[in-house]
Amino acid sequence: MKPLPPAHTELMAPMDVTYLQYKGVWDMQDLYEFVASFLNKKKFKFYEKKYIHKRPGPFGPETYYVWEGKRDVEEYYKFVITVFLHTFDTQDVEVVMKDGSKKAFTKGRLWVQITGKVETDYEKRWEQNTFYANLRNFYHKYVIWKKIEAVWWDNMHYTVFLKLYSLIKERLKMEAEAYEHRYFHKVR
Amino acid sequence: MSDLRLTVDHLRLNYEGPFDAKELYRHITGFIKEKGYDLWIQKEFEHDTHTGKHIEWQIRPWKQISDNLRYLIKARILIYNYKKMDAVVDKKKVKIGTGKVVIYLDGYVELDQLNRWEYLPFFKFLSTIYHNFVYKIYTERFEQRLTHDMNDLYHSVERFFNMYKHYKTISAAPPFAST
Repeated sequence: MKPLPPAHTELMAPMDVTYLQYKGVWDMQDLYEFVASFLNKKKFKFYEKKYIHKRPGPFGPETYYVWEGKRDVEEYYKFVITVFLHTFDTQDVEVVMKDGSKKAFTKGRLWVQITGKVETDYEKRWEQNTFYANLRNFYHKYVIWKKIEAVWWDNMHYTVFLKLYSLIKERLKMEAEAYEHRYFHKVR
Repeated sequence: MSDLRLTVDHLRLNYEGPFDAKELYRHITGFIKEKGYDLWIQKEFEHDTHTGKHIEWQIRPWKQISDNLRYLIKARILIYNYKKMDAVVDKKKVKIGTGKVVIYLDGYVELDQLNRWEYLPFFKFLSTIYHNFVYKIYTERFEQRLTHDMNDLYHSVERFFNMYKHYKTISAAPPFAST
């Protein structure tokens, strides 16, 4: 049993992690460029937080990528999207395209985890003293919690997060790319 | 932790034969959308192997009923050896998918999802009294509605696979079936 919290101290509205696993052939360069350009188009700042390349593996090299997109929507809140990619057992393969040109693709396994959150008071302006912090907590709990949950969070979840997720599926040409909420998520 | 009540336990559907995986997914998500559920895609795995594609989807649609109660569905779709094959439909050659499908459906009713009645033992006691005695008839009714939705989904998937032509939607889970 948790103790009764003294104040509402939630500073962010996170969303659950969504997982995607793929085994086959895909264009890694295209995927990288696509995610970066998508986030840029949505006015996010794109950061490559981590790039770890491990070699040799028994079946091929192993690479970890952590990408992060941040967008300061207003002075008080921002959206953060984190994409974790893990590729393993990969080999470079040459693929002949329909027009006869050759392109280097990646064959192997891909593990993707996507998560996002709405972060409030990201400049920590209301943490200078306890009174301010309690005032902020009161504001979150009784004044704008519905707005955080139902407007800001929804905005990020439906128009950025799920859209990015669907477009990644489309890039990988997965069977699950067709789903009914697709148009609702503004994937055209 | 919120009170999660398992209302529909593991409805299972097996099918082997021709079907379109994309259409199946669209059918299930379409049904969920029509019923007013929101979609949370938990995992989507797809492995291209020499015997065909092995696909696993797990979606968790939810529907907020009141401030204190929401429905949660867990749909797990497993597809094995999914391949595209040539078939003749209306004297035209088309490609259709074939493989083996296993679908598991679970339905939960989640009470007190924001853990407002969890902090003190007395609060917990009050909420238990409330749900089991005061508000019991409504809680049961909500559970029956979820059961109805789940069975409706199950039968709609059966119809998608053309398995049964005649069916009757079940609205009450076994504990309430006799009432």
